[in-house]
Amino acid sequence: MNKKIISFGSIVFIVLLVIAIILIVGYNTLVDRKEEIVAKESQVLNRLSQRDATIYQLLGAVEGLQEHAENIYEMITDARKAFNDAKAAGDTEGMIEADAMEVKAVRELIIVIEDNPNVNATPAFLTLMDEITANENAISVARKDYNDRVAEYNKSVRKFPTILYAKLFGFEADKPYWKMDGNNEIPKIEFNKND
Amino acid sequence: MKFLKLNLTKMTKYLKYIFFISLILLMLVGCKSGKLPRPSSEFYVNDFANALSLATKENIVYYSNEVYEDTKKIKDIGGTQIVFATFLLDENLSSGEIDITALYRKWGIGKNDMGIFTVLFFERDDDGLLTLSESYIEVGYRMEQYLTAGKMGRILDETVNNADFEFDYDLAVAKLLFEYLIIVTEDIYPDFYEPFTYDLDEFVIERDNSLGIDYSYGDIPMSFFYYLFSPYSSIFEKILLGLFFTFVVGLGGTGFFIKRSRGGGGSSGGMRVGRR
Repeated sequence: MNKKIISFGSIVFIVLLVIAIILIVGYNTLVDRKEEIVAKESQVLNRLSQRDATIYQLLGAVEGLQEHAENIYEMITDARKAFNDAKAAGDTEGMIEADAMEVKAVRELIIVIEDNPNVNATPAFLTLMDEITANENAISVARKDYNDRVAEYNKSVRKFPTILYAKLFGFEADKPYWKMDGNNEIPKIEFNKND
Repeated sequence: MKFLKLNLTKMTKYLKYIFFISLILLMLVGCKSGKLPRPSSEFYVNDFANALSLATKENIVYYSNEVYEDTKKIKDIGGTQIVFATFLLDENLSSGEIDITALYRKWGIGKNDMGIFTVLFFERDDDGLLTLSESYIEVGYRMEQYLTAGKMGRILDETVNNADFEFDYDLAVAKLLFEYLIIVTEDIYPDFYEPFTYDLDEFVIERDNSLGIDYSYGDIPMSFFYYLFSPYSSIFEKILLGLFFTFVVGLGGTGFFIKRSRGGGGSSGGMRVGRR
C-alpha cells in the first residue's frame, strides 16, 4: 500500500515539476521578448529624435530654406508634441501616428528642396541630406526590427500553452506593429544621387 | 534474456538510422542558403565581382586585420573591422536582392558594433568592362559617432564616386581604404596610433610591381591537395595523408587548414549612405 502511495506521489511530483518548469520557462521567454520590444522601441525613438535634430539643423543651416521653413517647423513641432504626448502616455499607436505626421513634414521639405534648385548646391546641404537619408534608412531598419520582435512576441502569446497563462501574468495579447504602409516612408531622394 | 538481446540489437539498428537521418537533416539545414553570400575566407575582402587588383585586396586584408587585431582588446570601442564586398549585377542578381544591413548582421562585422562595411555593385558595359553602378557605406551602431553619414558621403564622393577614378575603380577602393585608416587612427584611436598617411602614387607603383601571387589563406589546402595527388608523393604518403585529412576534416572541418578571419559579432542599425 505504502509503495503504491509513494509511486503515485512521485508521479504527481514529477508532473507538477514539469508543469512548473514549463511555466517558468514560458514566463521568462515572454519577459525576454517584451524587453526586446522595449529595447527596439527605444531604438526607433532614438532614430526619430535624430531625424528631428538633423531637420532642424538643415532648416537652420541651409541658405534659402528659411523662407519656406516656417510651415515645416510648425508641422514638425506639432508632430513632435503629439509624439511626446503619446510617449508619456505609453501609447505606442499614438507614437506611430505621430511618426506618420512627421514624415509628412519631411515630404514637404523634400518638395521645397526640389522646387528650389539653388538650395541643393551648398556643401552644408549635401552633408545634411546624407544625414537625413542615412537616418531614414536607419529608421526603417529600426521599425522593421521592432516589428520582427512584436511578431515573435505576438506569436508566442497566442501559442499553446502560453495562451493559457499569458493573461494571468498580465501579458497583453496583441502588441501593435509599427505601420510600414508607405505613409511613413520617405521616398528615395535623388538630389545628389543619394541612397 | 534472448528477447532483451534481440531488442537491443534492433534498438541499435534504429538508433543508427536516427543518427544518420539527423545527420542528413543537420547538413540540409546547414546548407540552406538564402540570397546572402557567406564571407570569403579572408573576410575583409569579398571581391565577388572580381573587380579588385591583388595589391588592393592584399592591402585591405593586411590593414584591416592589423586594425582588428591591434584594437580588439580596447574596452567598449575596440575591434574595428573594415570589410569590402563587390557584386556583379546581371540578369541573375539585382542590387535590391542584397540587403546590406542583413548581410552586415550575418557577417557580424566589427566587435562592439565597430564595423565599416563597403558594398560596391558593378555592371558590365557593352565592351565587357566593369563599371561601378552603386556604392554604399554602412557602419555599425557604435561606429556611427565616428563615421557620420556626412563623412561617409564625403568619402564616397572623393573616392569611388569621383570622376577622376572613373577608369580605375581599383585605385578608388585603395584610396577609400586609406581614408578609413585616417579616421581609425585620428578619430577613433588617437591615443593608440600615429596618424596614418599615404601616398597614392606609391601605391600605384606597388600595384604595378605586384607579382600577382595570391597569398590568400585559401591556397594552403590547395597545395596540400596538389602534393597529395601529384606523382611526388608515395602511395604510403597518399594513404597516410588521406587518412589524416579525413580524420581532421571529420573532427574539425577545414578550419584546421585555413586561418579564417571572422566577424567580431557586430551589428548595424542600417546607418548607410550610398551613391548611384
